[in-house]
Amino acid sequence: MAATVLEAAAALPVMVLAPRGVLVTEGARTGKLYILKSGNLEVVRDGSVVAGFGNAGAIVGEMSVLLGQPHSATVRSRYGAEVFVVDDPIGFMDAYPPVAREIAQALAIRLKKTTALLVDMRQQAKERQDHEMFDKIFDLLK
Amino acid sequence: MDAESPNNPTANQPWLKFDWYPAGHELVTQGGKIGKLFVLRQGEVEVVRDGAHINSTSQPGAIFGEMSLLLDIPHSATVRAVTDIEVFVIEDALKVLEANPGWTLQIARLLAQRVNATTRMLAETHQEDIADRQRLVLPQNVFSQWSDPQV
Repeated sequence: MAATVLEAAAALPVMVLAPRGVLVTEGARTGKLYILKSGNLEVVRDGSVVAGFGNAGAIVGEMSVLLGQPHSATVRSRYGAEVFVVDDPIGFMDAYPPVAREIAQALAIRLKKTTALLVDMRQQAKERQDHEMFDKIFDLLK
Repeated sequence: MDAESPNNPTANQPWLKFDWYPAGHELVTQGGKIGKLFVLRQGEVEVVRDGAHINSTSQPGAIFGEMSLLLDIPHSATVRAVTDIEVFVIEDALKVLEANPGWTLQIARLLAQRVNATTRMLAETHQEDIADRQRLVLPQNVFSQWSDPQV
C-alpha cells in the first residue's frame, strides 16, 4: 500500500529536512499532509520522543487535516529526511482513493491498539479497586 | 418501509438497505466477520469489548463495522442495540467504498475522531492510575522516612 501512496505523491513538491530539522511543530496549524520519501522522522511530545519511523510512504499530519485541529505533536528528523508536501490534502485524497484508504487503514490500526490498551487499563484499575475493597472488608473482619 | 415509497431514501441505491432491530439485538458480534457497514439512523447502541462497556452512541450517522472491513479482520467489539434502532445497511461494503471514494474519507475522519477520543480517555485513565498508585505508595514513603537515620 505504501507503494501506491508514493506513486500518487511522485509529482508533489519535496521538502528537504536537515538533521534535527523540524517538519511540524506541536500546536501549529499547517493544514498540510506530509509523506515521507526517504530518511526518518521522530515524533516528539512534551519534550520526549514517543515514536520513530523510516518507512517511505509513511503519512504525517492526517489527524490534524481530518479533524481540522493543530498538530498534536512535533515531528522532526534526527539524521535528515526528504518529505513530499501535500498542500491540498482533501483534494489529494479525493484524487487518489488508495491514499484515503491507506490513511483510514492506518487510523483503524491505531484505534484498535488504543482501544485494546484502554480496555486493559480499565480492567487493571478495576482489579485494583476490587483488591482495595477486599482489603477493607478483610480489615473489618479482623 | 415500502421499497417503492418515494420517501424511502434507499430506493435508488440497491446496495443501501434500510432495516430496524429491537433493543438487545447484536448488530455486529466480536469475533465475527460479515463484510457489511451499518450507519445508525435512529436509536442508541453500545459498544462492548471482552464483556466491558466501551462506549454508547445515539449519534445519527455513526458507522459500525468499518474496522473489520478496512483491516480485513474479525470485528474487534460487539455493537448492541440499547433501544429499538433504525439503520442503513451497506451490503458488500468493500465494493461500495471502491465505487464511492469520498466515503473512505468520511470514514477516515470518523476514525480520527475515535482515535482522538480514545487517546484522551487513555490519558485520563493513566492520570487516575498514577493518582491511585500515589495514594497507595504514600504511607510507605512516610514509614521509610521514619526509619531513615538521615531525617
